[in-house]
Amino acid sequence: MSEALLKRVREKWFKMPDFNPKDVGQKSVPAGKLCDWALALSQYQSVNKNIIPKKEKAAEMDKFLKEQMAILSKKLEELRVVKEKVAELVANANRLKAQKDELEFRMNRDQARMGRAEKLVVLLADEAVRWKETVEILDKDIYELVGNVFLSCACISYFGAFTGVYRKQLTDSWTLISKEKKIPCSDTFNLVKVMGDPVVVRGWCIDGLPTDNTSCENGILTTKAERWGLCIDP
Amino acid sequence: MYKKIGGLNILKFGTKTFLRSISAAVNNGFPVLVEDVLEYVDPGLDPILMHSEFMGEGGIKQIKLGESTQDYDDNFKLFMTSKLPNPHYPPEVCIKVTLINFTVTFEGLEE
Repeated sequence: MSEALLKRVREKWFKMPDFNPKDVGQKSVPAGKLCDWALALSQYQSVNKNIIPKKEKAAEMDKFLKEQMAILSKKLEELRVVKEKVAELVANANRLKAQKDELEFRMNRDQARMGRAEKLVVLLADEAVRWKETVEILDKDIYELVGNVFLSCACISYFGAFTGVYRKQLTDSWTLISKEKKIPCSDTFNLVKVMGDPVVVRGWCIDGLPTDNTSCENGILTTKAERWGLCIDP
Repeated sequence: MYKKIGGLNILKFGTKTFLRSISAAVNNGFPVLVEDVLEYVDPGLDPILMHSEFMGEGGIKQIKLGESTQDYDDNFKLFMTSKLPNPHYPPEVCIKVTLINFTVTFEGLEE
């Protein structure tokens, strides 16, 4: 139904005061129905006129929506990719952080060690000097060991019966002979130094033994000799 | 060092119980001091002086003293002292013992 026709109908017929289904129905029932139909049609037409652009708009909107949905899905895909990347980066970051912590821990520990090592080096520097001296003394002692042990044996076996003065003479002459025979021994042989443990000798002195050399020698003779001692003690 | 184990047993040559006492000391590992030795050493002590202990049955050290055999304890120690100012010991004694002259010295007296 064309728009123009409908417009004419509206102007020509609908303006009539009697044109309503009730009034027309009183004259003729079919005409009343027809009037009702015409009114309804007019109403439909006017409503339809409004609806068409809206439908078009709806279609357009649908299309737009589809497009936007496509964009959205694409964006979502991108987002997913980015999220994956972020997760990967976070994992990486965590790993690096753990590594960093480990390294820091090591650094602290090694710094502490370094400090201690420096301290030790400084402290041991003094020790080194002392040790060098000790090594020299020990080297000398080892070299002279043979002669000193030999003289110690001689002393323990033979010089016990004599007093200090004679003992000194004896050891002096023995030392001289050893030197002549090229047996390495100390220049001044001392039985207490070679055979005595300073701590033990000190203990004897605390227990009442006189601290002079002869008495200490007597102590060594008593303890080291294989044979039992006979003490001359007037 | 020695006196802590059973104390020091002090004996003299010539007493009746000498050999019995020294046997007990050898058995139990007590230290013994023989006092007032003259220029003569009791031959009864010879096995001890010459260290003639031997491994008996069951790995126990033993020594023959007089008529009997005694177990020998390694803690046993023997010392002898003489009061003679200038004794002369014959060689057979000298080789059995270590003579030690404890005559006081000047340095010792100075303390």
